[in-house]
Amino acid sequence: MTTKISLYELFASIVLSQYGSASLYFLAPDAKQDAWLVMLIYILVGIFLQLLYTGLYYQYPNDTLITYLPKIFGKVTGSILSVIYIVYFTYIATRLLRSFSELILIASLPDMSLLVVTITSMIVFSYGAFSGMENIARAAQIILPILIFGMLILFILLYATPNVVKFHNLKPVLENGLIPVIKAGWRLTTFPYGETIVFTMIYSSVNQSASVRKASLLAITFLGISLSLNTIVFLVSLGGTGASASLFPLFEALRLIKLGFLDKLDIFIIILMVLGAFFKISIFTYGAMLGTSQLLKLKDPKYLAIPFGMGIMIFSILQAENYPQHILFGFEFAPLYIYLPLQILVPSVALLVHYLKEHRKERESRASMP
Amino acid sequence: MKKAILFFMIIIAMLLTIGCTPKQEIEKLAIIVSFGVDRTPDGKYMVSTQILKGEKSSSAGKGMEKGEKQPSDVMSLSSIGDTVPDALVHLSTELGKKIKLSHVKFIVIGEDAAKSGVGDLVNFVAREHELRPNIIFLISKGKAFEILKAITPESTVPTNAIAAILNLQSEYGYIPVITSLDFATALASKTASPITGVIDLHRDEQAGTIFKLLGTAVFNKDKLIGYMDEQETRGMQWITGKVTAGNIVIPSPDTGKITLDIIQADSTLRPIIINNKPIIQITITEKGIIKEMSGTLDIMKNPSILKELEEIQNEAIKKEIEKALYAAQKTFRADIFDFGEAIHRDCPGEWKTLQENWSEIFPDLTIEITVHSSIPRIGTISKPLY
Repeated sequence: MTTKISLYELFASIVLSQYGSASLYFLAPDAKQDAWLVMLIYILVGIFLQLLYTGLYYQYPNDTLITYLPKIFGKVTGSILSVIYIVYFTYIATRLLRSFSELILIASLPDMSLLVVTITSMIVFSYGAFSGMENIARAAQIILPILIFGMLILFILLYATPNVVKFHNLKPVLENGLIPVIKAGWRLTTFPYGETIVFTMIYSSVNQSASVRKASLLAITFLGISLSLNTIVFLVSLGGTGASASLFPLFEALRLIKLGFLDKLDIFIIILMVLGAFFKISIFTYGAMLGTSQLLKLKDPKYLAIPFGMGIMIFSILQAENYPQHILFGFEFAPLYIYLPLQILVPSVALLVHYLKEHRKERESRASMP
Repeated sequence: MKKAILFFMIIIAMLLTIGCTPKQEIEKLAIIVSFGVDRTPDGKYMVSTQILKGEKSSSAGKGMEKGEKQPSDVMSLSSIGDTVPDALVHLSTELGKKIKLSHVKFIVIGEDAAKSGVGDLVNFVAREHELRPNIIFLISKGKAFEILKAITPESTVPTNAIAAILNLQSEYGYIPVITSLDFATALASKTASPITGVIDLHRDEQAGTIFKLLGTAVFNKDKLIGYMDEQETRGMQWITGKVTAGNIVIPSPDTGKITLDIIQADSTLRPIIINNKPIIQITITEKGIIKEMSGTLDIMKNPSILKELEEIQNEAIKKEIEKALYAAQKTFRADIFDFGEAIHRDCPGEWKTLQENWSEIFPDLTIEITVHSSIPRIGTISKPLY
């Protein structure tokens, strides 16, 4: 494998790929005004998951998820799991493509056809996947500062708009204690933190393998803090009730900016959000392509971008008849029955099986020694 | 060869991404700058709108005769439908143009419509993507239709004139500026009562029509229950800390009256619970400078007079606040100040028991008002010249 990315590029890719999609939604609506605290608390879970994923990587530093699963579970079971992961990566890309097309349709162009938005954006996203992880990561290191800077400017403009930001909306803090708040946020385990499992496909391309864990933990912490900041921004401007009723609360909050001629900034906000979507969709598509090529022992995953891009495009339209169905499936059914097993169960079992095997090998070699 | 393929790919990409699909030509759009909602006797909605004219009217620029009416840059049209968006669609077919709502500054709700409930309208504003959550709600004392068709002498777009008046009056504290987000938040709260500003027309022989934006409309849930006048409204705005300008007239300790110019004001609200009874403590700090005073008092010689004046000013502000509290607690029995949410924020434990019978507790709620006002400057003369 010739793909080589630097640590900072890995950091930027992890942050961007999750920030773009997670900033769309109110991820813990049941926690109401404490949602920002939930975001901070669940960073710990994110860190735990990263330790798990990087732990697997350090055991197999030259392999990806798709290639070490057969080594751990044996050829048949491992290959079946690998195929499931490829489908899962494709499915996440599909979901996100739909979410962003719907954002554009709901927020600014209701008369546009879903097909046109999906096709035009997927051409760009699959071109990203076609150019490979090296190029995506290099773009990420440029885009990350732009995105952070743009968002901060928007936040400052919102703060400067009179009569919008009401910090008392964050009170009362922990009205019913900590436990219900932690319960309300369990989905955060799967999205955004669990989705970083796609980076198990990419860790082996990082040029300084010793510091991969450090970079990814930093990325998760940074991601959690910026998502928490996002949550504070829309809670103080919309209030708990307003935010939980809104489909895209951060977008709705930033629409309130009104400072003289700085008004109606909707499109800038959407552009910033779609920047994040580009990285997530491209990286997930790339993960699925790379996995397929490794499973089928193809030389170059490049041209798989065409079939995968088309598949993602078509299935993103077919997967749900309407937006509520799309959200309900993604937030009610999928986290429990699809995401949790694939993101936590399988990797932890894999690590466990790996250690048991090591242990047995050691005992056998010790038994044969004397 | 490669370059040729690339060239064609760029052309195709450009064709796909220029964004022409739902095209909107400006001359084919009816850009609405404000609209009003009324109820017809048979339960339908009448929507009146102010629409920007596509081209300048022909008489503009010719130089106007004295006394001639200035041509208006908007047209006022109205139509009837089963719901508000339905009426807007009917309007668009009458005009032959598509409706564009992105530029709506405020919505005027007629008294009849407000009395029969505005919940549907609030939901429509929140759901429609072209309308932002910071659109201002106003209640008209008569029909909203009459406000929307009125033409002002000083501006060719009456909507802008109203927005300017609203901006100024809200600084003086005579009208609250309530956006659809504020209204919806109060409506969603179990204990608070929504309010909006009030708009009225005043016909003058010489100046023509004048808009009056004074007072507050008080709602119970989504139905209008009454009005507060301008004095009560300013009392309310003292509490919310929205008064930043304006003047106070107080009786002079000597003879006559003194006018004070408000240059700065702020308020803090603190709920405390004593013996299971909630008490709201309101502290107002205000700075005013003397603008006009009659009598023969020489303040430069005796600055302690200012202390006396500050005391009188404190009382005057306190009286205004008490008027507003009386109106809210006794007349309407409606928590327009959102005291309930204030208690919820600071004493969440006690709030759980208070919440259930808040409507009984609120009218007899103890409210302690403290006003700290100061008069740092007295204008440009030391003593009365005459």
